[in-house]
Amino acid sequence: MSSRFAIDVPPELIDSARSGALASLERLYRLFERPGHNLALRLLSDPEDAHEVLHDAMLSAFRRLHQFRGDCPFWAWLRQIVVNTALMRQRSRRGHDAHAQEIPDFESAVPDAGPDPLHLAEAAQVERALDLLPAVTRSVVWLFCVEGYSHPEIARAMGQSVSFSKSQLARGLARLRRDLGVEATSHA
Amino acid sequence: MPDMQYFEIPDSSDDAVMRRLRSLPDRDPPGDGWPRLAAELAAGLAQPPRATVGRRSRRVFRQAGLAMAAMLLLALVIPRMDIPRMEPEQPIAVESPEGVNATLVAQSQWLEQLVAAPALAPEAQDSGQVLLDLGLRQRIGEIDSALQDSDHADGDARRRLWQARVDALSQLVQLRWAGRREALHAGIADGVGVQQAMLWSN
Repeated sequence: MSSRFAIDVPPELIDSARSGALASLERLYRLFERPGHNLALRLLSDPEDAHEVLHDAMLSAFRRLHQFRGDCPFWAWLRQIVVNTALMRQRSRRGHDAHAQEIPDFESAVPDAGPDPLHLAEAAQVERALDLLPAVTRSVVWLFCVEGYSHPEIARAMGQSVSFSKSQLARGLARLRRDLGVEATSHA
Repeated sequence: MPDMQYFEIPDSSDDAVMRRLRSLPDRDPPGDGWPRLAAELAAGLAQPPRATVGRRSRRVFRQAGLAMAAMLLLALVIPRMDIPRMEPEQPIAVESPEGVNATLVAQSQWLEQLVAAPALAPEAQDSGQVLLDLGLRQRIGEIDSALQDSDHADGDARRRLWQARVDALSQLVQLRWAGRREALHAGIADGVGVQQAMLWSN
């Protein structure tokens, strides 16, 4: 598991936050603001949207703290709220943003990858390749590869089928391989 | 129906891609996240349940709104005035909450924590905000005096006082947040506000 969200929270801190103690709420916020912001940023690829999603998700979580039963780690509960909030925002944007669609065809044209990757920092190159993915595909790739979601979990979060999640992952990874210049070893 | 060729388990080249994705550095979240969230939590707490908003409550809100408008007008007409130096984060004393709506008391105490939080320190307020801040704190002081004198008052009167206290504290939090947000946008949040420094230097 490589998710930055995987932060253990003492039960006492959650109880204290549940009772409305400001210091505890702030502590929880500070613990998760960075992973929350980065997850939203990766799913939406827009810093302002990520900011809003972080805010809305935290507000929603803090208002629903009494609903957290402890049957999963707190971070997983909170992460699901961030993911749901981000995906909801993505869906609301989709009508206005053609880039937010999933990849319709494996061989469809993609924008120019830009300057020679050799002259870019590794991270910038990967970020750029990620940003070039359609929003839905990017979300599937990120949730699977970095957050460790399973296909059924992704399908449930996105209101899609497991097949949809698998195909978007395969297509997204194929495009990333191509844009990052990584040679495939087994794909036809 | 998706093509079955895409259902393969990721191969080693995909592992390389995944490794690069996982090694992406984090981006810094914006700095104003917590104050904004705290202010909105406070605003949500300060709203009475829909069913309990009666004519009297609406009148209280209307009067508070008129008072705010009057103070704002004053602030515009008198851009500078002598304001005694004071400690803006002095805790506000409250009496024992016995016999009073416990929810209102809890809201009131929670809002006080917010007002005292460093994230909502009254930095970089403009002159109008400083006056409103002062006016709201004076109002809270008056309500506290009234609460202290209301030991023998009926429960409804005391409940109204506590509701008014929650409303005033909520307005104060909103005001502080507004000042903080403007300061952050102007890039002066970490220093003492120019207007406030001018006003409090006398």
